[in-house]
Formats: sequence, C-alpha cells, structure tokens
Amino acid sequence: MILFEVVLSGVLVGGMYGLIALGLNLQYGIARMMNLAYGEALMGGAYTAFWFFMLWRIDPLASMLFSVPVAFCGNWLIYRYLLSPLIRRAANQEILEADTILVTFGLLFVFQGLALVQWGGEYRGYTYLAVPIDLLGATVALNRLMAFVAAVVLALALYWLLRSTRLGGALRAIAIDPVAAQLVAVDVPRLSALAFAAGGAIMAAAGTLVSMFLSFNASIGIVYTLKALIVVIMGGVGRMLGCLMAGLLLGLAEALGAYLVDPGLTLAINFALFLLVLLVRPQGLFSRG
Amino acid sequence: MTAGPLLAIQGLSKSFGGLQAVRDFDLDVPERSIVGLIGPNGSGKTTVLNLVTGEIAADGGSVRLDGREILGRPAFRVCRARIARTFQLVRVLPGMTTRENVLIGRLFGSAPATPEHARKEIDALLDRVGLSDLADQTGAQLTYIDQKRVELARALATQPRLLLLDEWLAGLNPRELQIGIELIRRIRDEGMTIVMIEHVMEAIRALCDHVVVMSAGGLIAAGAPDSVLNDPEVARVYLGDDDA
Amino acid sequence: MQRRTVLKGGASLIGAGSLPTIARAQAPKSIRIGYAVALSGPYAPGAQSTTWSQYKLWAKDVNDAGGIMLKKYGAKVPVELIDYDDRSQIEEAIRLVERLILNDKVDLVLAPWGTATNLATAPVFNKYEYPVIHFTASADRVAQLGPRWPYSFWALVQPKPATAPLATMVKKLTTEGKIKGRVAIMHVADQLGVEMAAAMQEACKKEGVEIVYFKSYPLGASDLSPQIREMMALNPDAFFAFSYPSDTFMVTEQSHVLGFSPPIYYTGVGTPFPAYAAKFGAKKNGVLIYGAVDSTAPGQKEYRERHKAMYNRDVEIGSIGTYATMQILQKAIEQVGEIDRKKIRDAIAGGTFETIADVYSFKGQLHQNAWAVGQWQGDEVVAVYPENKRGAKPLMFPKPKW
Repeated sequence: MILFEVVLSGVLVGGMYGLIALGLNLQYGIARMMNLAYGEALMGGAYTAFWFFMLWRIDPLASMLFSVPVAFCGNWLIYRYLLSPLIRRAANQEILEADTILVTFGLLFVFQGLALVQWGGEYRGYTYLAVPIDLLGATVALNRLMAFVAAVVLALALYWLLRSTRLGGALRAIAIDPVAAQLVAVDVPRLSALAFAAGGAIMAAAGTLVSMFLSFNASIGIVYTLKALIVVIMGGVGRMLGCLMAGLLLGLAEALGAYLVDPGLTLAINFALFLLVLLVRPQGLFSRG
Repeated sequence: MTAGPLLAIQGLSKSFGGLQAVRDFDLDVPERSIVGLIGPNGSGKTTVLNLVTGEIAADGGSVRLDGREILGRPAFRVCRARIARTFQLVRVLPGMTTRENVLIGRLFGSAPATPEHARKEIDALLDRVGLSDLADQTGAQLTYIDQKRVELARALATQPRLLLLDEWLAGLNPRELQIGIELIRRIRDEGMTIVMIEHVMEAIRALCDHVVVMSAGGLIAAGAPDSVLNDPEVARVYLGDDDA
Repeated sequence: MQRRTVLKGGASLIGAGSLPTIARAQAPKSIRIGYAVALSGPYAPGAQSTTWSQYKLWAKDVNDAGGIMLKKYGAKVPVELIDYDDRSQIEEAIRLVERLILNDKVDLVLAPWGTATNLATAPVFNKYEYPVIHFTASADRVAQLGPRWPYSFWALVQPKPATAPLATMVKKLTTEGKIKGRVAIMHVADQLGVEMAAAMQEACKKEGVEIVYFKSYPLGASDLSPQIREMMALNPDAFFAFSYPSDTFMVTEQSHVLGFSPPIYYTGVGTPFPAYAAKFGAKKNGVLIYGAVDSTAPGQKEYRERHKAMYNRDVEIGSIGTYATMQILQKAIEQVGEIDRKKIRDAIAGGTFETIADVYSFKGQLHQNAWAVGQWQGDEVVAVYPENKRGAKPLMFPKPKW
C-alpha cells in the first residue's frame, strides 16, 4: 500500500513538472529563446494567487483569470521588444543564444528584485483545500490532486492544439525547421511571439497551482526554470508529449528513489537520470529523429 | 499585366562581408516558361533564390512578381504572393508524416484552407508526385528521393504561380531522372512557371526554354539551351573552376 | 551645545593666528559602517528580511537619537552605512569585505548573511582585525574556532546546545510516563540540517532515547508525504524536523492533511515566521521551534512597533536576534568611547549585554547560553529552553491535536 502511495505522490509531482516543461518547450523549442527568466512568470502567478486569496479571498484558480493574461501579454512584450531585436542583430545562432541568455539573465534579476522590493523576502503560503481525500485507498491532499488535474488538463489541451489544429501544425513546423516553415507561408515571427507568450502564460498558471500546496518567495523562479530545463532536455526539445512523459518519469523517479533508497538522494537521482539520458539518448528520451 | 514577364529581376545585389555574392543581376521569366540557372558552385545561384524568396535581405535591386515589388517582404509573405521553392539540401520536417508535411503548405499557403478541406486535395497531390503509399511515414523514415518528392509536393501545396527548384534532380539515378524530368514538364504544362538551378545538363536541354549562366555573382551568358551550352566561355568557366 | 563652544573657540584661536591645535580632538563626522549582504540571487530573500532590514532599521534608530555617543570627543556621532550586494556569491562577499576595509576604509564591517558566507568571510575580518558579531551562522565548527579567529563572535545557538534540551525533554516526559519516547527525525540534506540532526542523534544516544526514524530529504523537495506516511507507520510520539522554510511549511501542511499529530512536534527555520502564523492560524499552537527570543526582554515591544512602521510587516525572531547584535556592537563602542577596533573587540569579549532578544555574554567568543527552543503558545512565540534563563516559559504539553 505504501508503495502505491509513493507512486501516486510521484505522479502528482510529475504532472506539475510536465506542465512547466511544456511551457519552456514552447519558448525554447518553438520560439527558440532560452529564457532564464522563465520561472519568474511562475513566481508572478504564485504571488497573484497569494495576494488575491489573502486580501480578497478570491479562489486561487479564479486568480488565473488575471495572472495568465498578464503573463501572456508580458511575455509577448518581452519577446517583441527585447528578444526579437536580438535576432536581427545576431550574426548566427550561437551569438543569438548567448545574447538571449544574457538578456534574460538580467531580466531574472529585474523581476526578482521587483518582487523583493514590493513584497519582501519572506516565505509566503496560504492554506487552500488542505484536506485529505481518499484515492483508491491512499490519502492525498485535495489541493495537490486539483493542481495535478488542472496541470494535466492544461497539458492535454495544449497537446491537442498542437496536434490537431492549423495553428498547431504551424507551431510544430517552426519547432522543426523555421526556415522551411516560413517558405510554406508560416508567419514565423508572429507565431514565435505567440508561442513565447503562451509559454509564459502556462508558467503563470503553474505558479498558481504550485502556490496551492507549496510556500514560495521571491527567488522561487530559477528553481523551476532549472527543473523545466532538465525535463525538456530529457523529453526532447520541441517534443510536447515527450516532455509530459519525462516530467512524470522524473516525479516517479524522485518519489521511488526517496522511498526505496534514501530521501536525501532525490537530487542525486534526479541528476543521474538526467546524465543517463544525455549519454544514452542526447536527442531526448522521446525523440524519434 | 499579362504582357510583361511573370518574374522580373533587376540590378539585384548582395554581398556577404567583402564577398560580392550577387552583383547587378537581371532576369526576366515569362509566364509558363522554364528558365534554367546554371553556373559553377559558389557562383551565386542559390543566393539569387534566397533573395527572391526573402530568406535573406538584398543590398539593392528590384524583384517584381507580375509587376508588384516583392523585395523586402518577409519570406512568409513572399510565399503568400505565390512563390514556392525546394532546397538543395532537402528540408523535410522530420518529425511529421509525409501528409502532414504537405498539409502545412496547403494550410498556410497563398489560399489558406481549413484542415478538413485541405485533406482531400493533399491526397490528390500526393498521388500526383507518386507518394500515396508513403503518406503516413515520417519525414525521417523516407529515402532521399522521396524526401525530394515531399518537398516538391509541399511547395506545390502552397499553390504557387512561380516554382523555384534548387537542384531538385541532383542525385537521381537515370531511371528516376527520366521520371523527374517528366514530372516537371507536366507541372509546367499545367500552367506553372519554373526557375530551376541545375547541374544535370540532360535535364536543362530537355526542359528549359531559356538558360542563364552565372559566374562569381554576375551573369555571363544567356539564351537558348543549345547555344549557351556550346558557348566556349561557358565551358571555360565550368571546367576551369569546378567539375560541376 | 558643547560642540559648538569648541568650534567657536577653535575658530577664534585660528582667527587670532595663534596655536593651531585644539585641546580636544575633533569628533569624526560619522562612523562609517560597511557590509555586503545578498540583495539578489537565491540568498536575497533571507538576507533581506533577516539581515539587511535590521541594519537599516538600527542605523535609523541610532541616527534618530543623534548618533552613537563617543566619550573621547564628548559628542554623539551619526552612523553612515555603506552597503554592497554580494549577489549570493561567497567569493563576491569575501572580495567586498576586503574592499570595504581597504578601499572604502570603513570604521567597522557588519556580518553577511548565511552560515557559509559568514564562515568564508571570517578570516578576512580577522586578518584585518575588524570585530564582527556573526548571527545567521550555526555550525559545530565555530566552537573550536575561537582562538584562531579572535575578532569573530557567534551569537546564534549552535547545533549541540540547540538539540541537547530536546533530548532531555523527551527523556523527562518518558520517565514521567507521558510519552513512550519514540523519536522520529527528518532533516534537510544541507549543512545546518545535517549538523542539527547529527547533534540530535548524539544527544538522544546520551539520554538513552530511542530513534525510530532518521532520514534526510533534499533541499527543494516538493513532496514529503511518503516520508510522513512512513513515519506514521512507526507510530512516533516526538517528531523533529531540522528543516528550511519551504519544507517547514510543506511538512506542516502535509502532516495536517495526513493526520500526523504527535504530542511533540518540532520544525526548523521558518516556524516562527509571520507567514507561518498567517498560513496555519490556530494549528500552530504548541509547535516547537528552532531558536527563540525572550519575548519579555526590555525594549522588544517598542522595537516591534518601529519595525512595523518601517517595513509594514511583522518581525520574526531571526531579525530580532540580528538587531540585538547591533545593540551589542553599539554598547561596546559606547563603552570604549572611540573607534578603536582592538578595544571594541575586548569590550564585546568581556561584557554582558542586555538586548531586545536575550542577555548576551560571550565565552570563547561564543554565546554559550543562547536560547535553544521556542514554542508557539497561543499567538506568541515564547522561549522554552534553556529553562533556567530569565523569561523562559514552561513547556506546553501535549501539543493540541490537529
């Protein structure tokens, strides 16, 4: 029984990893921007949920109606006015990558600094649906379960959009080969901006969900940026289903490793898995090519 | 507008750093014709194509399609103006199936369609280029020749008036070459205007109405295939610089 | 008034074109005090709320009162802060402390934030003989460092004295038949967590207390429910988590959800935070805490009001302790009456200092008798152990069931 609960715990956490990786994949896999300030959208979503809940007792899920559009617009503006000028300036892909990393690293400090000035450095958290739920005999917290369900619904919706719609086809084409895509009349700059903005919006949603069961502070963003990066590299850049799978796998590996080996080794297991993937399948676990 | 050429290039120039890749290049392509663009490697042929499609920005000159200036437009707008191309090194989207590859062209081309609407057309198109059996294979699984077909089908799916082929016939065996030549001829007969970069002289002779020869970024000869290919200057440029 | 007279006298003397020296030395314009703490990077939130904010508040309080009295000049001299951001990088912190001393030539340098940063910069303070009171640093090593680093003082409770009272408490309750004395320990796999857990393990062994669960978890863990379930199966009646803020919050919430509610429940850093109280409300009652301050210490109430006025938020005990180290420094300076770093060092080493947090005295530069364990009692954090200290409140046992 306890093993089942461990697996369940891993799956619940893994769903969240999958969601944040999906957003990063939109930014890095499609818009081709390595955004180190990616996690700051999560921080923003979490603070929004926190303040809406504390000040006005607004349901965290409802706060997404505010934070997600704001993150979408904010990320769109960043792409449009900070990052896409770099594309024009950069002589090649390597220079562009270096430039974007520098710019977004700066952004990370700006956002984190703003949050620090505005809300101070202390940890924040609120209690929302922290009630036990019986799931096939195992006890789980309702807030975690809801966050997982929301993450999976979001992820599947995104996956369907990419697989089965005209827009999704274009986004996938950009992910694979932006040059070829523009020569079949795909408006690459506009759709890249859209993908980048959508990635940020997803991260804000993830922030809301995470804040329902974890405490956070102004420096939380980078933690999730790194986690997302690991999952994206494991799942394959540009591969959406791969990311979801890799996220679940990572969550499971962490939970099982903690239970079967030692909880202190979770991080080590995390990186061992990551290194193994890099060595055996550098193109990503779920990459066909 | 039917009086003038479909594509009119004038004074087109592009340099990369100190290298003048294309200098003051002129070309007229009449509607429903096939124009061959030949010359040794590095003579600027592919650069001309890249400039026309908007992949790279020109330094100067003019490119008109049906009298309308298209130079300076982003690539996707050039495509929507009904110019399509294939690549010297094939650029099939490896993670997508043959059908999806071609569908992308149909969905976003000059006359965007809904997915349901487009699917039927795509099947007909795949049949036309001989890919029906491979419709559900991914790009990465296809042979080189079939990838070339996918690229051609994807270009055609955008419903172009002008098709730019960059060494589309290179690397084919003699039997495949005959099929390829036949395919291009049929496409032209259906009303397409084509500019093709090609090293296979057999194909140039068989298909082209007009041939232009480039060397070091400039035009050195132009005319009917037979006369141009027998030009001693052209032979010297080819044999002197490159084995082609 | 006095100062003006001196100035007037000086002016008239110079005017008369005679004797250029003045009997009493001119007081410095300000006491220049520098520090480097993290204002960006992963340490920034902790450093900002516990350390940086207190330095600023203290400087404001001092200057509002006219400055620090320097007997030698018979004048109050204001303090001037010179601050740098070490960007959460230890090498940067070392470089900046050196820069403050050598380039900016400040009179005093304050401690940075965090155990690692404090340990890494201590040699620089000692090399240039700048007295420093480290607060946000707890490690077994510091007990042995006294003779090597004579200018470094350590004000926070260290792992061994922080955990010894816990083992004694369990032993006592077991002997009294109130609990069975089955102890579960979990700790974050980071320096403080590891040392605290090891010290606790040793203390339990010494007291003959049974440990039924002892495991670590990584920094940044996102789910501790499997570990809690595993412990619940072992049925412990005393639970100790040597944790950091985010895991403190998480393990507490997950214990609520899973119904893990042993009569002794202890969590680490973060437990006394205002955010903890806001999140858990009445459920915090009876939870034991790593460290404490004497809530009855003179001046603490007024301090809390000033803090609230400046930052519009409540204060946690780490901040109170940090502010207390500034009071110690100020008192030592006033005792000496001038900026003489050797004499200030000796004054700190030999004195007993009443502050808003505790009565401090250093033996071997270590505050031996520091507050070790606190407890949420109602809406207040009270000090519980060591129980013989002034201001100590009796332990609330058992913790009410959730």
